[in-house]
Amino acid sequence: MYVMNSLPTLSVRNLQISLLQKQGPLNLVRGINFEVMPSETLALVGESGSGKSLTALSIMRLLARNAHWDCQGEVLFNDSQGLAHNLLKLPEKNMRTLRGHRIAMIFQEPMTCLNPVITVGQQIAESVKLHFGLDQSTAHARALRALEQVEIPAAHQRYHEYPHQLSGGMRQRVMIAMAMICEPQLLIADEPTTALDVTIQAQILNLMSRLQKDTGMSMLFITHNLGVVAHHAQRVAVMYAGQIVEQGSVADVFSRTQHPYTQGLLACLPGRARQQFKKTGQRVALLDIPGQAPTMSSSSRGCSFAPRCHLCFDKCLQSLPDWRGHSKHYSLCHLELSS
Amino acid sequence: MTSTSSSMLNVEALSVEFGRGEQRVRAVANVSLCIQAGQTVGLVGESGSGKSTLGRAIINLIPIHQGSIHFMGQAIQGLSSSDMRPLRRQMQMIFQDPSLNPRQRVGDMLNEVLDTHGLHKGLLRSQRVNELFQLVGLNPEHRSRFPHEFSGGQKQRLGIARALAAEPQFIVADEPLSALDMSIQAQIVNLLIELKSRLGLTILFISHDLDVVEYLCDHVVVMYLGRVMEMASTEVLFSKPMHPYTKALLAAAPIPDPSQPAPEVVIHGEPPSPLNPPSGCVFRTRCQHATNECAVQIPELTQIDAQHSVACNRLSEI
Repeated sequence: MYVMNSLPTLSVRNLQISLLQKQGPLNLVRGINFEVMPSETLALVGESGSGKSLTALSIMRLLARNAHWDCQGEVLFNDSQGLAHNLLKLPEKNMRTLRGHRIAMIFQEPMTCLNPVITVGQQIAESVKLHFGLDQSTAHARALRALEQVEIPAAHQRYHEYPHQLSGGMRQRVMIAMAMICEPQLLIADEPTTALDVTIQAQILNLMSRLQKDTGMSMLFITHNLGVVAHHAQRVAVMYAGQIVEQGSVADVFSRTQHPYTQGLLACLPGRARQQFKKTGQRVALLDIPGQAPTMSSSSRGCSFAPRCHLCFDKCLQSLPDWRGHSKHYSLCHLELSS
Repeated sequence: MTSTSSSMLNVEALSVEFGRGEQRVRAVANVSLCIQAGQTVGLVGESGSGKSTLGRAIINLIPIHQGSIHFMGQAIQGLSSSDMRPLRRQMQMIFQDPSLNPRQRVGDMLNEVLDTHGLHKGLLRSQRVNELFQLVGLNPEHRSRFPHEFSGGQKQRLGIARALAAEPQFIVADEPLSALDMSIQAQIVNLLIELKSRLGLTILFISHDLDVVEYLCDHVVVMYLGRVMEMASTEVLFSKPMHPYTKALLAAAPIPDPSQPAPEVVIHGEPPSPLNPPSGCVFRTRCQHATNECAVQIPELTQIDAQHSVACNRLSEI
């Protein structure tokens, strides 16, 4: 998929994000590491509250400004000229030249990101005017081409429409056009299809894969839908309670699952149960993971998944687990699991 | 799902319309279906297909425009709310967002339902409330808590407990899983299966998640733009879908297994506006098999066999 000796587009090293409060810091992301190689898609999977979106927002430096955050660690972005930028330490002025240009983001709910009183065409053109210094007519042509690229029918007409005149799928296409117009090296997509119907979801995902193939950009794809991960990512990182608990290639993680949480997630899926039934002819019961994710304020000495884990033993409650496995597929667990 | 007199619920040519004049929308158009006691029927479709509207119309939460609904032999369309009350006990609803009163203790919420229907009075009351908590897997000691003290999955359990408090026979569950995380979804699915077998419930399960529907339901009704496209037993619908829309829906849902082929894009474009639905077959604008005839002829729901009906003009050719 990618050249092994090339530099990763994005490498996140020991990233920790805490929310500073009067009562003390709330450690929401607790030391995560991952890399995204050129033209590769890394899926970041997890349930709500696991810190996936927070990770994305901290990479983009878009964490809410009305709260006090403490971000530790390193987020290194290697641009096409071979320059490395530590995004966490970059002055805001330099960050602005990267954001929306080299690094773009697509959000779950386009309606909250699009300006309701500006036509979608102008909003798309704004980005090339800012980053490439194009004049109005060239920017208009570029924006129109971007709209055509994301397969919006009657792009000439749509250019002059306002976000409320578009359907949910169309708005998401506009968001993609806006993110892609400067041909970013890295696209962060935060649950881009969660609000869409399945038939539209399939269209949008195919479009994103096609654009990625055309431009060779890297993608950090945040989702909770394992079906989407299976077909649209090369590698996957599973997050639980602010930590990555398993990371590896999609084929490895799905077929040789190591961490009990990932195993539990896969056993929860009715679609997976059906596949098993078709393969083996035996009906598989839908297994659930008992209990619920821990609140971030509670701190335990041991593994954060231990209270819900069916394989939990004494050591899990007493000490933090270490990484197990090899460099291509590893998990954060006391047990060496073999499936 | 053939119509018989022994069925629990019988819906005949039901239409629901909203708005007036130019803005009039036919949210549900000419839907007939029949649910036998003890069945779980899945109602699937994309947003705007009218599945929630149909679910609400069936239990008389919104007025219907045409057609009839018979629940256990009794016509319920147009009944006044006081006439409806004894029937409400029999038919309850579980909502996507359980909409709990934030200022009412959850135990009091269940008390209120029992009061309304005059159930388990006096000394038995407290015991019954505890029973309901246990039934849905909650700790009865938490009965004096407020809704905000519960997690999303627990709130949905409370919503289910509230529906069960009236001891219904029929439950309409409107997307009860869509706001929940995967691991919690599986918990609620398993709870519904357990409750169904323990209490002998009949459920109309409204969902857009085909995987869950296949796992949970005996029968499936597929809707598009207010009309029924296809209905069949779950096994038949998922193994031998006949309507082009059903086929497209099944093809679009990604299978969580990388060794399986990636989902195909079979239908392009977006569903048309319900304000101005296409003439003839409503699906024709996105259907790859559509001909000129489809623009004129509204397809009838035709029975293939006792369990399977499809509404498509070109069924014999495709």
